[in-house]
Amino acid sequence: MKECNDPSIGQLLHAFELGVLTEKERESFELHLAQCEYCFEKFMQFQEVTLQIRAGEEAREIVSDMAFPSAPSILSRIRAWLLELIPRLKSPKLLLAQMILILAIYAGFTNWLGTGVQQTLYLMPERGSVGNILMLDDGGKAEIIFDMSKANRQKQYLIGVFSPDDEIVISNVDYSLNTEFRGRIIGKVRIPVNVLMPGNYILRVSNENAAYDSALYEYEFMVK
Amino acid sequence: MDIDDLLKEAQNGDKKAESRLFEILCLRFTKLANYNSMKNKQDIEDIVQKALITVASEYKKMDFQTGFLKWADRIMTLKLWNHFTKRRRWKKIQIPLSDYQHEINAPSTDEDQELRRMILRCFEMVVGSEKLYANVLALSYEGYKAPEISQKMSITTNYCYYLLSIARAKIEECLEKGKVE
Ligand SMILES: [Zn+2]
Repeated sequence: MKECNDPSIGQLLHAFELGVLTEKERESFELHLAQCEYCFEKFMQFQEVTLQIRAGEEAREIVSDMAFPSAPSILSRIRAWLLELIPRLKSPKLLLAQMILILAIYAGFTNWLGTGVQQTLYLMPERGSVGNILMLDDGGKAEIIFDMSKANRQKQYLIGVFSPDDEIVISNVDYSLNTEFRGRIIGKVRIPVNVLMPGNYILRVSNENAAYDSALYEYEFMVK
Repeated sequence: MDIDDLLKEAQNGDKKAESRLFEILCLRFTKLANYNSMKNKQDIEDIVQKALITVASEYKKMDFQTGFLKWADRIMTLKLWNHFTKRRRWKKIQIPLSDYQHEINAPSTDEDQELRRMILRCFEMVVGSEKLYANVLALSYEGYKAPEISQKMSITTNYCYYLLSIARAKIEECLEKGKVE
């Protein structure tokens, strides 16, 4: 057979292969595959590729390298959307507060930045809450681990990384406040180093409903 | 009595024919599981049962143009696939029972290596040219399903499926021609 007997269903083939169909969709797609000569043949021939994509370490590395640079573009899209949506909000700080809120919602999206961490920065009160991230030629990601002892495990927080002009650089927040570091609550932020410019940055944590200025924590770090 | 007659009678409501048909399928599916080097008896039973349930709920509505056994083998094959790709039990599936003989001859190790390299090259090219595909994959590695992925990426689920089918076609094209256009 040279063609799929139902292309609208047939186009789910790769989603099936990648295991992203819901249980119900998967079951009905299985029935399509069993009946559609064309799709079944394609599926069998592509197995090696599918297994590489799903299970191969190299493929995952390729994806993690390629996927993260698009995060800023998502951010700029949100920013553009916000500017369009709330033109009356002239105060950049208010606007920023809105953005952080949305970024917090999007935090899950950027969770996949989690792989490939090359440097870890600890921002703990006893260390003076300042630290450095080095600009490495090969990029990679920096993980910032910071003290959040004052935080409540049941609550959500807004966490943003700001450059000196108060522009958000990136917000990729792991809300795993259950994670403990030497017995205390910590937060984690992961940043692709190549989105940073050298300079001073502030990591700001505030309550979900708090005004922008009343940060629960502010940590400073430098990118060199 | 051959399988097609048995099928016809079962489809017409003959209970005896139906139970004979399912006995045959049960043996056949178990063989297929064994052929795919499944060792755990409980796993085999579970998968065979799942496949039999699907066959039982579908076979009466169907008009088998490509052959009943071929269809049934595929049902079982897909259940095996689902099993192997769950919880990282990754494995390629083989169909020895019907007319997919070409699948049996596994390529030699050298060819295997070369194929793997080629796949990775093509994959890298496509992922590099389709950022959204990279993002969908990254989220799929996190265990998200298409509706959640789409939501996180602010695209529709249909668009997500469309993206995936385009990316797949590009990988195929690259494997055929050695490049992406
Ligand atoms: Zn099809």
